[in-house]
Amino acid sequence: MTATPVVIRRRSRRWDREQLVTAALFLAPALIVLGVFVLYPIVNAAHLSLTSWDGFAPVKEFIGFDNYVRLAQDPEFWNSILVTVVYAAGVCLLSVASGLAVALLLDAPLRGRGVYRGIYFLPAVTSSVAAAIVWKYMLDPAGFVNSVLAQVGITGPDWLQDRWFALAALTMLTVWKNIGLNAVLYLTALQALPQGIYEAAQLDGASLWQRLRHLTFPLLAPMTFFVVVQALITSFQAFDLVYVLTGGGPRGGTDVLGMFMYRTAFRLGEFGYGTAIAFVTLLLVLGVTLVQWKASGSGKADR
Amino acid sequence: MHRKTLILGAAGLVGALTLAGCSASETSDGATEVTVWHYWDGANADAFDALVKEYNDSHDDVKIAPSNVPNADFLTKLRASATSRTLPDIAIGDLVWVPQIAQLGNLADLEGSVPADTLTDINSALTTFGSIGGKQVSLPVSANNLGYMYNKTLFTEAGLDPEAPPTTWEELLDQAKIITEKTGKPGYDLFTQAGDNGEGLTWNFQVNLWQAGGEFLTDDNSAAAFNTPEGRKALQFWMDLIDSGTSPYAKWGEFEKGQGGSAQEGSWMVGIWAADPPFEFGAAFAPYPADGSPATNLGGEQAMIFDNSDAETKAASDFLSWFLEPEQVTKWSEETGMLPVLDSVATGEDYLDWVESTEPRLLPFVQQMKDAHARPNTPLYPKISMAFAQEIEKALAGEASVSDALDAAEKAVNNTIAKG
Amino acid sequence: MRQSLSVRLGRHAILLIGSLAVVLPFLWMFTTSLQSRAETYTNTSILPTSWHWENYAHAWEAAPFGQYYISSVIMAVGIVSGHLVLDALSAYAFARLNFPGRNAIFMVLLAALMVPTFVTIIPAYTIVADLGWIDSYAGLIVPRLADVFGIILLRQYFMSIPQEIEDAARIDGCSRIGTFFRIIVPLSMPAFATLAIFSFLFAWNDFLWPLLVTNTDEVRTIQIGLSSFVGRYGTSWNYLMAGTLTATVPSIIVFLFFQRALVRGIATTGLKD
Repeated sequence: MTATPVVIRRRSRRWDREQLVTAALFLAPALIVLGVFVLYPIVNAAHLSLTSWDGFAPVKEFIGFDNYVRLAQDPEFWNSILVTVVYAAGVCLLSVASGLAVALLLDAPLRGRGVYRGIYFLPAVTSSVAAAIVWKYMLDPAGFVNSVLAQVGITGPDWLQDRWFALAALTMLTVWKNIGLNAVLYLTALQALPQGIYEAAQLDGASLWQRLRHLTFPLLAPMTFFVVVQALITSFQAFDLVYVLTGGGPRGGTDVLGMFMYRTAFRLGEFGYGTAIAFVTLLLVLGVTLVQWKASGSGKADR
Repeated sequence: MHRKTLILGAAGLVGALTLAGCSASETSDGATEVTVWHYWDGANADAFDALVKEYNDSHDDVKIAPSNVPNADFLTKLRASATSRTLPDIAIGDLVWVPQIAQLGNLADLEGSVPADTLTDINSALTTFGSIGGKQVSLPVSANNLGYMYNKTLFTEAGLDPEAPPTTWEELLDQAKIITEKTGKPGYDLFTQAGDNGEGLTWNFQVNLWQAGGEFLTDDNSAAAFNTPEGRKALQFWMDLIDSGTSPYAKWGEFEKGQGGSAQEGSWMVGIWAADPPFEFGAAFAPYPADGSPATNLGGEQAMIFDNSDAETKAASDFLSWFLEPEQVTKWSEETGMLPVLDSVATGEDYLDWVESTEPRLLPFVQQMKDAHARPNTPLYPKISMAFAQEIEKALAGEASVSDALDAAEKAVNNTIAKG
Repeated sequence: MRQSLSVRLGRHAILLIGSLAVVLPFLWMFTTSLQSRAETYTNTSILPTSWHWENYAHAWEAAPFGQYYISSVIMAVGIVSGHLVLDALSAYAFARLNFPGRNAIFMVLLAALMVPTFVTIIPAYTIVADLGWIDSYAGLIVPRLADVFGIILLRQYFMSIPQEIEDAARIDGCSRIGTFFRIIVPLSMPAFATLAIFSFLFAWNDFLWPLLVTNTDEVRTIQIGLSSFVGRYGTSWNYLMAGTLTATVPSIIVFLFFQRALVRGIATTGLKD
């Protein structure tokens, strides 16, 4: 072990002036843009959730927390929560699994690696509308999926007419759509892994699975955190795919929060109420993320 | 330093773009610019552009500038523009949107701006629809309605006469059952799912409701009016179709794929399919019960003028008046396959001759215009439609009885109206 | 060291099967793009049965797509550049610098990421309209010059670079700004490549915001153009698919270009093990 150089870190309780100035300089551009165009509108929207605005009336009538109270008593909302939680759990799990698997498979000197990467990335560049239409078509009771299942002797269900099968289909569609993106994220992280420890471990006789389990997975923890957060946000806000695949049906079976929000605000003209749903969704996702943040040690890799 | 210059360069580029902010030019050379937003696409958009060009060429002091806004996001764009006074001068949108848009409060009263003759010539159901709060806030620029369309090949296959479509509910049911028996395919598609806004189900159902003699809401839109023997009769008709197996639940779309005998479709399908029919199809008026009356549901686009400024409002009204003259209405209808909104054109020889010689399948829809109803013009309509459809769907799915579903629907609709 | 033949074959096998599943829907898009209007209603095959290549030309001519492409490219370049620069600077501040409120601000940004876009879109539009940026590139680019996703992605990546390297540079007299440009940035190329890909995809496929802030063809983008194929009274599936496929080509090119930076073998950690 080489001796680590000694760095004099100012340990005073005063903030380091150089860091403060640099921080201010570096943060300013992004924070200004985000502040004006993202944060301020959010505050604005929070106020909107306390009104009964329908999107058109020139006056927004203030109604306090009525929207939130109404939400708590709205059976459609609770159904939406249930559907979204199940959906999010599936998407997070499968996103991590599929993204990692594809990344690991592609992270080796493999012939045609570029071609594979291109292929696995195709769903990500495909329009959501097209993707959902194709899946809808393939999941028709007389369609492709069921005919393949029939080959192995399974009678496929009427996928989009049963609430749980429809949700499963939606989950698979979402994971499929994002597989390239998740794989790219993991590939990025894999590039930063120090090769040395792998060689050491192999010399020590560790098997492939052991190396994966005890070295790769823990070292990828920060990226896994990130992938899960992304998957959470995707599932809680999902709209495009759901809209085209099932429209929220069958009878609420795939009515995820994103769909519920959009329908309420844009289709039924209940903007105030729809915005309230958005904020509740935000709180939920934030809550789950905070729990995850704590559990993974503030998103830092174990060093 | 290399990288530093790169980053600074990028920042500079961004800054330059910010300052550039090349905006579209406003009214040039003194002409008043009238912006028109519509959702017409493809051939319809081209036809509109052609008419606009004709008007622009003959009017030096005005420039009509049309802009397509996809229909799914039309209201969103209007909402956003309303909050910052960047509204267009004319908005041409789905008739169902008018009551909501009227709530903005700045729609011009078209009664004074469009000639009285034109107003009386327009289909009265459509004019009444646009009369809200004592103002004529919108006028129709195109119309369509629902009728019976069927697959002639399947009819023949099932041993039915392809030139004798059903004229009553009873005939419809019988013929549909025969089709299913002989070909194994659905005989008649029903729109049985509420989906994300209910309107598909609601507006199809209203046809049968009106045919049976029922009403959807009371005249002043203050309460549900469909929970009556007539309403039950209409719903029972749907149940009969579903229970007999000829209209499977949640199977809308078979007819359009060429795998179903018939369906209640909009008049626009005739124009869309005429050039390149996916199969041999026929059209007829919507069959009504032997003890009922003919009726159909009106759709189409309505034009609204926003009171942005006196000059623009006047210019916009002039354009609209011109667009609603019989000559333009005839040209417009013939180009697009939409139904004429002027009674004089719809019943006039020229137009009817054109229909019979060019597109006879449009005739039943044209003839139905006199029996056509428009939906309630309340801004709560989308919510009402959704509430209604969600309850009715339960009966269609076999989860509730006809009377229970109608009771629940009535309650849900009245609740929606009460909450405002 | 070379892996055994069976391992390599196994990899290929799994990847191939996966590829099929992934590519299938794309095949349907391609098939549909070659059909006539009537066939799009009734056709059931996933493999092409007719070959109307003219659909591509027709789709291109249906709207001023040439102009739309230019606008889309300008918007995408603006947004990607903005993200790379602004996000990197902020991410470094969050990853390495100590300042009051650091965690709080970061949490606020994370929360902002979780607010669905539709909630902010109308208030944001009002601001842009008041600034007079309707129908301009400024309106399309500036509000999206930075994004939270990129900040978080880069922050995570910066934090995984060993502190020792920067410390060594600081001892040599490099300023904080210097270590950022001379040490962190070169070592983070994979992350920048990833962000470039994500940002490009976002900008290229973005629909609702450009729709709201533009009215004229001069600044409208491809996605708005494509949406005109989805009409009120029915969708022109064949032209929509043809147009969509044409529009995805740049995305694929950008991806293939940037993903080369995601290849192991380039010295990325600087640790001499």
